[in-house]
Amino acid sequence: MTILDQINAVLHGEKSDRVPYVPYHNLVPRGEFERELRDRGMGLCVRCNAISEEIDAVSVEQRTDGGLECTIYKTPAGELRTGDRVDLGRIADGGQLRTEWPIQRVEDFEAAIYLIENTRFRTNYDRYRNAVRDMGGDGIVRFEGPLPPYDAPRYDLGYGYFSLEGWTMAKIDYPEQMDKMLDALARRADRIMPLVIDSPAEFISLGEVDGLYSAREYEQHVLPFYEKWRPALESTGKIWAVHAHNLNLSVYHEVVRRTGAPVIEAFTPLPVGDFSLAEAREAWGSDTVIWVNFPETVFWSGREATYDYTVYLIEQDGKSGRLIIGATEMGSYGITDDRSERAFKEGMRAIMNAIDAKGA
Amino acid sequence: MTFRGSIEAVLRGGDPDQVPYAPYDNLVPRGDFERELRNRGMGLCLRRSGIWSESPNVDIERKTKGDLAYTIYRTPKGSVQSAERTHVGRISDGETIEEEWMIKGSDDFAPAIFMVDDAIYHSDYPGFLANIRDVGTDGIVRFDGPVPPYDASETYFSLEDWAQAQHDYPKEFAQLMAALERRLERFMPLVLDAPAEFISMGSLSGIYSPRRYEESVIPFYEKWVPELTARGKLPALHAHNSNLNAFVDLVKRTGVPIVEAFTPPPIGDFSLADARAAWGPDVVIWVNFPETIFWHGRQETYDYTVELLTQDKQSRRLVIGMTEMGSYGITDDESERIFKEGMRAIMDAIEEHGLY
Repeated sequence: MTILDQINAVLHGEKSDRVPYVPYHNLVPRGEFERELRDRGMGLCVRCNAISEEIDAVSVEQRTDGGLECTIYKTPAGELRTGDRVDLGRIADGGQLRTEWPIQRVEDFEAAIYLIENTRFRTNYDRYRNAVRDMGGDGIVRFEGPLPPYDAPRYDLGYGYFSLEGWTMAKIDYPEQMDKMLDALARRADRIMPLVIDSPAEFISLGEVDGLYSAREYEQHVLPFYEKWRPALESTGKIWAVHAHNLNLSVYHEVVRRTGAPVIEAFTPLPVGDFSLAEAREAWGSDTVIWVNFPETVFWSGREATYDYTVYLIEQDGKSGRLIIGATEMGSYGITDDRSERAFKEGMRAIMNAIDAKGA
Repeated sequence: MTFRGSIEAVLRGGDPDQVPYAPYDNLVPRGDFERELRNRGMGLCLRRSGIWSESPNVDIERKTKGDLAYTIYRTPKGSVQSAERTHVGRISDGETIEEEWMIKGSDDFAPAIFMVDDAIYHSDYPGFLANIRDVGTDGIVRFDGPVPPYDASETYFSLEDWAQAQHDYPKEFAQLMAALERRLERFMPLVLDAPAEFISMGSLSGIYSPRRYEESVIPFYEKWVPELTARGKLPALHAHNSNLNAFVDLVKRTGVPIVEAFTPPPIGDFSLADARAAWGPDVVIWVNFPETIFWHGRQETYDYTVELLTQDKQSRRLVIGMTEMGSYGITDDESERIFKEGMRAIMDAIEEHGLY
């Protein structure tokens, strides 16, 4: 079986000949070590953006000063400004972090809503098809779908209209404006989701669970998105994944189940998360694909501990046939010096050793 | 010997165990075919920057209209605008092509010159070194080095406007050149101090005369190649032009130890054997394998590669690369078949005729 065959078998509830090990491709930079792992059967998950956004009446102005990149979005309804520290190295994808968010005052909502309402989407399905062709049997390409409207404000514009604190306070201080913003985001979702459903992709991403607000709030504001789109997704054979990377799944697992997502990805088990794989399997049932984010912190406990931990994960899942071990946060991209190189390489080899020994 | 061992031996005048096959990494997207070739010994040439820049007094505005993405640079001396057509597919890196350039008339020089003078450079050597650590022995990392100011000036114009501007606006053009020279003086210390051995150093596009190249570009190499090589650097000239016959002696006069992207006939007009005879035994010739050969079939591709090896393998200073298309050029079933057959044929030829 190729790696793609194994992944597809898991996704479709068929029999794979082993538990697939599939990090995000950008988390395992190309090189001799990556090739060693791929030759041993590690696959790659490519996250493909094939829908782009265009907003004709908006100009975006940027200025970089001393490593701080300031961006101003000029709309007919006002201006929004972001600040990002750039060139920070491997502490985040893209090597940058936001330090200033665009919605600071009630007046800023109008411009934000203008951006959202006037966003047009353009598909580039060939980009997806080319990625699939390039990857061949060595991995899977995941079509990137949108976030639920309730979560979009913390991610849009390259990491958010609000800081977490700003978003939390805005819900209390500006409820009317937040409702208008959410309505605009829902209409935007109505424009993009048909493009996702019409895409030639089977495996798609659809949202994240950060665990930064209550499960009750998730139930109230996020689940309706999945309930609305689930019929169309299922009828067109889409296999969608929710990126449940939050560390408090013990209070979230029920609402995650209710999304109906066939794949719960980025699941981070104990000791980093608070929910074991066995508990997750019991909560989500035998048909749900659980795609683990292997916590790299385990690497620092040594090769043997990493091996034992991986065996433990495989055993916890009870031969469900619906398990994938991945890396969604760090992988060998987390290597920054000799010490981390030794720990991470030892760790990733230990994962493969355990899968070879116990994951077939 | 690892790939990296081989290629470093070639670059440093050592003893490789085979002729390295080293496409640019972005031209061989990851997947089962790429892994197959890497397992057979193909390496990767990563082009990476270790220097970033900022322009604190320039505001950059971007807007889109349909397929066109406009960029407006606002300076205290005025504004200039460029445009790219997006979503063009795999006909270029980044899937965009330029449609409008910054300098269109005499008024545009002042803001462009301001931008050049406003650029501040910073090093990011750890980021560059991380790439070397990542690729290990499976590739080589080339540091993005300097570009001759005369060639850098061309990026501000369409080709036609650039050619005409030198005649229509000589004073302004000279001022732009002076600013680009000043910018280069700020950039070069970071290149000289960089923890990189293999660096890029300009392109030879062949779109203007050898006489102009001699007058306007050779001085750049005469000044900086000695300084770079004294610091242990191996600068590479990207000589991808198809009219090298007219530039043979000038390439030699640059003094670069590596001539990269060399494209032999039938695409270029200068054979590998002639290049070797002209440039001497010590220059590394890094071939850009012309993918058009693939369309003639597996056997012809194999034979063509063997011919290249026959022409120059004995120099121990030969690299076969791909600097234009690689398997990134695959867009449908037919091209997939043709390109995969072709790249496998190259590897077959190297395995059978490219070993030392």
